[in-house]
Formats: sequence, C-alpha cells, structure tokens
Amino acid sequence: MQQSSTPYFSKQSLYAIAVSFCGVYAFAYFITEIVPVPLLWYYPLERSWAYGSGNLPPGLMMGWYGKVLFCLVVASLVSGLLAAGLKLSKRELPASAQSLLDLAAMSSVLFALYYIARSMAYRAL
Amino acid sequence: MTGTQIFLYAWGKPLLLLHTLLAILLLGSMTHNVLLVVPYLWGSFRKVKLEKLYVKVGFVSYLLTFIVGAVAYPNYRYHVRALHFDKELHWASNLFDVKEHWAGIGLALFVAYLLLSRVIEPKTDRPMLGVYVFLSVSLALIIWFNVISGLLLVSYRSI
Repeated sequence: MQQSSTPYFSKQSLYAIAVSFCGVYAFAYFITEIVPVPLLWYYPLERSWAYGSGNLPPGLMMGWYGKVLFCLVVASLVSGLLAAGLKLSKRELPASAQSLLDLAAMSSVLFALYYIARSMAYRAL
Repeated sequence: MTGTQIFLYAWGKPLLLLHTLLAILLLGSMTHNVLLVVPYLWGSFRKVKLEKLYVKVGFVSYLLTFIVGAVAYPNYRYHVRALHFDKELHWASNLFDVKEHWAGIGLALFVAYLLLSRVIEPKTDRPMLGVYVFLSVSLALIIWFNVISGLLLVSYRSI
C-alpha cells in the first residue's frame, strides 16, 4: 500500500480512523438501545428539550436526535483518540490489528442494523 | 397545547416533498455507485472517477435528505404517529422507527465511506476494498429500504 497520500495522516491511518468511526458509532447506537444512557430528548408539542435517562418530564418525546448526537460524539472521541495515538506513535496499525478492526466494525454495523429491525418487529406499542 | 404549534407545522408538505426529491437523487447516485463498486471485488475497475463522483453526490444528498427529514420529524411524530399510527397501525410506527434508526446508522457509514473514497485507489489498495465494498452495499441497502418504506408509509398517512 502507498504511504502518505495526505500531508497529515497516512492513507493507512485515515483508513483505520474511518473504519473505527463507523464501527464505534454502530456499537454506541446498539448500546443506547439496551442501556438507559442519558440522552437529549425533544418535546415537539412544548418545543422544549430535556436531558437524562429517567425522571424526565412527561409528555410526547423524541429521543432520536439525542441518540444520533450521542453516537456522533462517542465515535468522534474514540476515532479522535485513535488518530492521536497513531500520530504520536508515528506508526501504523499492524495488518493483523487492522483486519480485526475491519471485522469488528463490519460486525458491529450488521448487528446494530439487525438488532434494531428485530426489536422493532416485535415491539408492542 | 395543539399540534399547530409544532416546529414548521405549516411547512410539513413542502418539506416532505423536498425530502422525497432528495431521496430520489440519493437513491440514483448510490445505486449507480454500488454497481461500479461491487465489480472491484473481481478486479473490474471501470469508471473509478465516476464512482467517486457518485460518492460525493450521494453524501451531499444523504446529508440534505437527513437534515430535511430531521426538521420535518416533529410534525410526523405528532400528526401521523401519535394521532394515527400508534392507535391504528402499530406496524407502521415500527417500520418508521426501523427507517429512522437505519438512517441514523447510515450517517456514520457515509462519513466513513466518503473519507475512504477520498484516500483509496481501488486498483492498488486491494486490502482496503473489503470494507469499501461493504460500506457501499450497506448504504445502498439502507437507502433502498428507507425509500420503499417511506413511500409505503406515506401511502397510508403523511404530514
């Protein structure tokens, strides 16, 4: 593989950062489905916001905005840490670690998509 | 408290129309993209530049479709889901939620896909092609599912 296609990060580093971002994001999405993570909630009728996981004000509420925001923050933090680590160490991920990361990210995405479809298919309102 | 106080209530139908038109652009670009990307697996590298152009068009249209959908969402949540789907068509509420969650996950896939598209040379970077093809196929499937389910849902009730 070629090195240094960009001035700041090598191609392999950018690849690892991108793969970790989507894998961590999908995993975080799954976590918000099974664990009551504190999120931002929107109340469309009141046009107001609340933050938390329990003891929230009653009413029609929407958690999707907060969920997407939470996953974006978590994925950015983790892939940012990986980017900083790669930059500071001036090394690339070993090929075996990269293969594991690829596999973990793809599995995470597939499982999150499957879990959501399955849980919605059986959800009683 | 009435539903007319919901954010951009009066703009519900124009926003839905814009969301649909952007989704059609997205569907077209990503369908063409996946048809060019999958053959990378057996060494067919035709129209690489065009494939990367589809990624850029797809990303911009995904982002715009996502934003317009997010803006129109409160209107749907009350006037369609709370007043109708949750009472009469539970499967429709659940189908919409699959659509919204898959779109949320697709956002991260597209960010990663755009980044990879900018750095990968398909002919030389063979070890990276597996994830690249995976992202293209996953995004195409999410987009096709979302467009079909969205059209099905508005055929029952819309904002």
